[in-house]
Amino acid sequence: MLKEKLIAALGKEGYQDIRYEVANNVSIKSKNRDIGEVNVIKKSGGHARALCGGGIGTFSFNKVEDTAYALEQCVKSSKLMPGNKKLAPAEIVKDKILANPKMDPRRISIEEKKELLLKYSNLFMDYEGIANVEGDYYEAYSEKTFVNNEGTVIEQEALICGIKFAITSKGNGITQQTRLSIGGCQSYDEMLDKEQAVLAKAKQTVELLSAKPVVGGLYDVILDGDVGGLFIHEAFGHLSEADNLLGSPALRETMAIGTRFGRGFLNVIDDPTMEGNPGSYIYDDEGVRGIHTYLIKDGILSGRLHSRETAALVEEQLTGHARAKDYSFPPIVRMGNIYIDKGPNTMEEMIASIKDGLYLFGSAGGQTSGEMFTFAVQGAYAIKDGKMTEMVRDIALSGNLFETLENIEMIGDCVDFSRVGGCGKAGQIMIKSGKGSAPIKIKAMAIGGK
Amino acid sequence: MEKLFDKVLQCSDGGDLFKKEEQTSSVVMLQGVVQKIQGKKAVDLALRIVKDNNMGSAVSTSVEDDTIIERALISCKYQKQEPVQFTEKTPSIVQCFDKKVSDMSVEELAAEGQRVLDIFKKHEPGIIPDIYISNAIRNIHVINSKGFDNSYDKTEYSISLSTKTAKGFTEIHDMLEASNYQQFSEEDIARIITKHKISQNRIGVDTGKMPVIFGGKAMGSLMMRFLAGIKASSVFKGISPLEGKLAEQVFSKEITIRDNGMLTFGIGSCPFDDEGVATANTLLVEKGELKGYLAGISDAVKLQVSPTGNSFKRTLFTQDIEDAPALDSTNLLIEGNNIPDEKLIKDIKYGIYVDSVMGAHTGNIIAGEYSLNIGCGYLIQDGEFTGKVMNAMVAGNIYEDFKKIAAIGTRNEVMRTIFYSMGYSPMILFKDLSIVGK
Repeated sequence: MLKEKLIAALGKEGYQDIRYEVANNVSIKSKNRDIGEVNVIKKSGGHARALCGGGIGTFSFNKVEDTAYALEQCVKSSKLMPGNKKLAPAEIVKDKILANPKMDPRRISIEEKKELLLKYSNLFMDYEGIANVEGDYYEAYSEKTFVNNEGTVIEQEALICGIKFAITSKGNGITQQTRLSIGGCQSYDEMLDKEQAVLAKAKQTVELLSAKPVVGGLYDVILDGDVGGLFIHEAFGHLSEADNLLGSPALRETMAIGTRFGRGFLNVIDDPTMEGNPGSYIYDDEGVRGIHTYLIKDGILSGRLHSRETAALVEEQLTGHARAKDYSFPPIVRMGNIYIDKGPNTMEEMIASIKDGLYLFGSAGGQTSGEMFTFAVQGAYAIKDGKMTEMVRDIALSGNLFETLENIEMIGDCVDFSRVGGCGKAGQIMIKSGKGSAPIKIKAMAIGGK
Repeated sequence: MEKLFDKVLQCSDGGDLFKKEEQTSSVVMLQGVVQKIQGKKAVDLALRIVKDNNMGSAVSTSVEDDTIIERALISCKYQKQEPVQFTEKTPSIVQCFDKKVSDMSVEELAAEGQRVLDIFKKHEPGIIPDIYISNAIRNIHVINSKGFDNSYDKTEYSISLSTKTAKGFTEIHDMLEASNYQQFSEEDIARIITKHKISQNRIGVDTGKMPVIFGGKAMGSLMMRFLAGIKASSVFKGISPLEGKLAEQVFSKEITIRDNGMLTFGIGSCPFDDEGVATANTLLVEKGELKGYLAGISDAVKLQVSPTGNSFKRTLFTQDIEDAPALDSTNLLIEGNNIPDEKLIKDIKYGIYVDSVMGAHTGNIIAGEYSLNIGCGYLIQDGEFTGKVMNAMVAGNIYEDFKKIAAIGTRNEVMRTIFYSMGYSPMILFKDLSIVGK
């Protein structure tokens, strides 16, 4: 019924599309040994777009009855824009995608979810030195209907669930914070039996209390899979989102396909099609199927992530990466699951190659301005004369993208993916964004310290 | 809304219903041409329900959606949350609505962008900034079981611009944001052009301690740490470094900090917060001495003070209807001796001016630690900006470094966090901070 209403609202002029979304989310928060908020969230709304003039006009709304009004606004806005913007041709699709998890979180009771969250919270709190644990069970299920006046009609379910913990240890007059994430996919069973991971993180968080603060300076560093994923997401991934190229001929030149970005063993891929990661999906929010895309192949810039608008601009293949946080926002180019592929080196070789450096573990957020990037980590082990030694803390890194990619000297032989998404762009925080990496060694990274 | 709330009262011991209606428009101009026009018209509702001395909550996007009550009762069944003592006080009138902003069409937003472009063209035709302009009109309505039934209209206006490097990355970024209409003046644009030209000289700095000026915009990254510590909720959790320090000298005597939700046309101004509590002009630090905390309704009871009107439905990264009301800034304001900005810079022999940073949301924020990439900063030599600082970081802890504040400048800028604004600050001179360079 909804689908028919949306199709009926579409006009014939130019290009027009509507995406309507009904979201049913569950959120359970815990604090130390207690459950805090429990929310069963229901929201719905739509987003319309039109290209009848020089640019794409967009409008978001709540009520299905406002669809026609939203499209009118889009048409009007589109005609106000000068120019001759085009969309890359896309296959006309009629499809229905159903979420099909091995263990469906929607069939698990709130009581069971609470118990799981509290079981892990209590395990943290039982560990001596842990002062505070905040847990966040999230479950986001949405039914999206996408229609356009080219004939595409897609009904797509999306489902993700996971638990995020923020852990604080206290002692020696200081506090230290780490994070642990589990799940981050459709299936509830990925969150079960994680006691060992919880205990290992508790131990690490307490050990950080005895670690020395890092001394600022330049260090040769090894990034674990989680940190490597954050690095490639912030330092390079955002720049590979082709909407950066709109209105910037200079950046198009800087990011010319075929430019060398790193050594021959560097391969960077974005792949929304891999199952079980936070950034996995079938169709993007323009109704285009997401595809495995090489961004850097053998050290050479070989691709980028596209919407229909950006693919038309630079006349490249569609990749299906135009996504929105929800109906309140227009789709913009976002990463799916980005990762640095495995390389030729073992971890032992990488550690042995460093005289005075750091092994960095656990991502703790980052940011980019395009050319420059920064990110923080949960902690590190000092490496002295090729051996891992004591722990150090309070570490943030920054660098220039082009120099840093050139400075990747070694890549490990196994890829790890983070179990949590989360990426902010243009006011949209997206949890369905995955990242991973093989361990990498970078020479001479700037690390801030007092 | 009233009908829905009547149903709530029939099956509960009380509650409150929050409704937000908003309409927004934005225009993006790239390479001197309008490239994007976006619009939004939406309604959001949030219900908190009290039953058997417990409280539950739920949200919806339609006043016709009665399931919000069932879902709030489910929440009440499974969560344990002490009920809020709802307010009944009538709020004051705060100027936060500008008809000019409310009436601006997308054509007028685009015309304002063109006016700015024309000034650049007149002074420096080679610089064509990207321009982002938006207006928002919001109506907030709160009803509670104590009889509070009030609403207000608020406008928001924002204009930001970015000049570009030869490679196409951001060189200089500047913005204006308030509840009323704002304009970049010819003088503002001349200052941006001067910074852009100085930036063409890239300079590395050595690692070490040196005088550092944080521009008002960049101060948001440090004030995020202060905001985390000044919340009464952090004090009660035992994690705030400001716990138990009321009436103590915590910072340099040069700095005074207040949170003023009643500031005329401030970006965070409004008559009451998202729990219905009247906003206030709260003195937090006076000449370096800690004077108070930001307090929600429950915190205020424990502290035996009045709540400060700082509970809002937003987090660092989201403004979603499902975000529970939590302590946040209205307009954090930094005040002090207001030395002319030119003099502040002129008196520095060798130091750095930080215009913007990256990584503000990372690190041990509650402990006051920071380690930030200097996104845009200038080397000061003999009182003059001599070039743009490249590949440098500034690091420290605000609870040590705010004791090193030597002077406060004059011209206010919007303090930014990551996505949102938190108030206004002039430039601040720190005697010496740690810089990591090449």
